Amino acid sequence: MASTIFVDKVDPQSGTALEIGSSGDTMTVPSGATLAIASGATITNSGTATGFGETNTPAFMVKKNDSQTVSDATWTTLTFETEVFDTDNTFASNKFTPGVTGKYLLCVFVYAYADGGSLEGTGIGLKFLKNGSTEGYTYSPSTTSNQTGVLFSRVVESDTDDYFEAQVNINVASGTPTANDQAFFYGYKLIT
Amino acid sequence: MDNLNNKIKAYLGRTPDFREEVILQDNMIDGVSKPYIAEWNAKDKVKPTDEQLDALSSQATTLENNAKIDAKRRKEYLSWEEQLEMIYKDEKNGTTTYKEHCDKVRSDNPKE
Repeated sequence: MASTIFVDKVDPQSGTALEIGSSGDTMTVPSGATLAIASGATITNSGTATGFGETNTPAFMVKKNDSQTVSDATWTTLTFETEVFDTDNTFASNKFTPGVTGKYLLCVFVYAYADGGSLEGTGIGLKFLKNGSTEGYTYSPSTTSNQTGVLFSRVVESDTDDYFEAQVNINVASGTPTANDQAFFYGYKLIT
Repeated sequence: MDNLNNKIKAYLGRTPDFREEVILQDNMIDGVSKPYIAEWNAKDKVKPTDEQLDALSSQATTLENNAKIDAKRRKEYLSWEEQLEMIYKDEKNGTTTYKEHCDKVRSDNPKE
């Protein structure tokens, strides 16, 4: 039968070090109890701490493994063939469906060019779609060169069934609008 | 690609602002390209039907081909520095090198 010691304070018998329990033991602060760390106190962890704070998951990163030709001046969903990582299997069919309510950082990069021609001066557009509707976009500075890279990032809010896609808009004066194989798309949950 | 933007240019008789006036979208469902008009904000004409746009396929192809010709001409005209040099020398020497150069670029690359 467990015994109980009733004291208001435990101090080292000698010196300043106090050890509780022995190797292999488990110390438990029961449900409903509070372990209060006073202001000015320090906790030093040299072991393994688990269960503290949140994690930045779900998280994913995908990339293209081949170039993608698109229609001129048309917002086109980017397709990603390779998953670099996908912590919770929340990326499929070019869509990120977090499944967990929260704020997420999304980022997409495209290197666009006009195959056999030149880009139009209006620049390259990138946007995120949330459930099929625009959730922010950007355009690169105007360019009439053959190629340019654009990166777009945004914090979005998701509930349990929202999904997100990335689209590109390449406007060419001539040639075939193309996103090359360097495009990537990543996202992760923010700790808030 | 189905040349939708050039069909719209042919329909309007001008190039619209594809950021604001006419917004095209292609959702690549199951990896299949099928562009469509997501927003039509042009004031001078109502949104065209698919049939109206399909009837403009030939004109759209001409626009696309002429854009390629334009790009080729721009390259062959040479840089503005080189063109100014030709003009300067023509003025100085009473020659017509610049005009002949431009005429050749145009005749080498005729539009449809």
